[in-house]
Amino acid sequence: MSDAGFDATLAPEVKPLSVGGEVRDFVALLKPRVMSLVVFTALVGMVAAPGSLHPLIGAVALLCIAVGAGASGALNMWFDADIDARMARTAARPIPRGSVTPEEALAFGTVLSVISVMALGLFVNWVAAALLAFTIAFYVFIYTIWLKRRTPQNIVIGGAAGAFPPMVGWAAVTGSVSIESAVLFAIIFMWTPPHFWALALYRARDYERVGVPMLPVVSGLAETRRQILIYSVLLAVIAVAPWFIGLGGLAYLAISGLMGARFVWLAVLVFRDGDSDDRAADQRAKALFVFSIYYLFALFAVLLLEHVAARVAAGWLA
Amino acid sequence: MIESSPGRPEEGSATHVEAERQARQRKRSIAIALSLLFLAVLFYVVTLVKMGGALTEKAGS
Repeated sequence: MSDAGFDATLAPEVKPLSVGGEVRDFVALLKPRVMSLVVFTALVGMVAAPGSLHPLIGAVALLCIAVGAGASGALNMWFDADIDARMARTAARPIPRGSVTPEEALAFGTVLSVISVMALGLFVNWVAAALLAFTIAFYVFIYTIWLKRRTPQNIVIGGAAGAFPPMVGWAAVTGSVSIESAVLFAIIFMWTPPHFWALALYRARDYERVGVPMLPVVSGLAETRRQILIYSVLLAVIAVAPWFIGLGGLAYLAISGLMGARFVWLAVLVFRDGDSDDRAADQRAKALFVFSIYYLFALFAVLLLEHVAARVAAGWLA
Repeated sequence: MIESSPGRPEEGSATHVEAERQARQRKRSIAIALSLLFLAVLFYVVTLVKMGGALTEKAGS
């Protein structure tokens, strides 16, 4: 038989013999570091909310939110496996490394999504469950599948998914959505663009190579730095809002004001770099990126401490 | 010359890969079993807590 009519594209793909993933590979699919931030902000939402939950039910609510966030991370890795394989930051993830198949990641993420939403609904309340389901759907369908590869505003709109956890935590306690939980949402929502664009400034080549239209790739470094500064100023202003609505106390106001000023100053330093892509400019972007993590953590930690202290003072833990 | 120890499959051989696959499959099965057990206990305990709360409310009314 002749090979003349052989079409290589029709041949079955030859894959290396797979031995399947280890348990830790499936844990890595859940993006544990992202999960920890989600759990922390959701906890703050729960503690800051008026009312109380049985400690076990509260723990279950946090577990459901954590698993739901992890599930959306697994679904994100399933869809983005092709670009993850070509980016230095993500090449070692379980699917590009070949230790977990895309089908396994899809099944894993889907099953965990369903379990986390159903358990939150049955054990806690259906408002919180609906918000969690919306968060997962928003992250997977709106951000990962629709926006990420189509628009430089991907981070701005997609950032909403990361901003929902404190709202879910609040709803777990109160069964509703309120202005206070919306303010917590707004803080994370406004924090996300400067945080990720600072990262994108010194990872722009990675994103360019895989065709993800991050702002530095599409609009250039100077425009990205201008947008970072605008969002940083808006963030610093919104971040003091909890004090005005009685959600945060004086300690919160002080930390938020001081760290907000520092955030804006670092954004000004980044802005002054204009179109520069030298090492010093990268260092300033990296400094802003790292500070942004401490900033968000500090804001929510102070809120948590203030509310725990208030509950102790009110005899909640007595 | 490196000789493989008797009874232990040579690294990279089909037997070795199959043994590794079975070992990982076993670990995954154990992890799934433990997760299901955890879920069952969780459902049980949460049901007790919720029933306890409902009974307390009923007794108080």
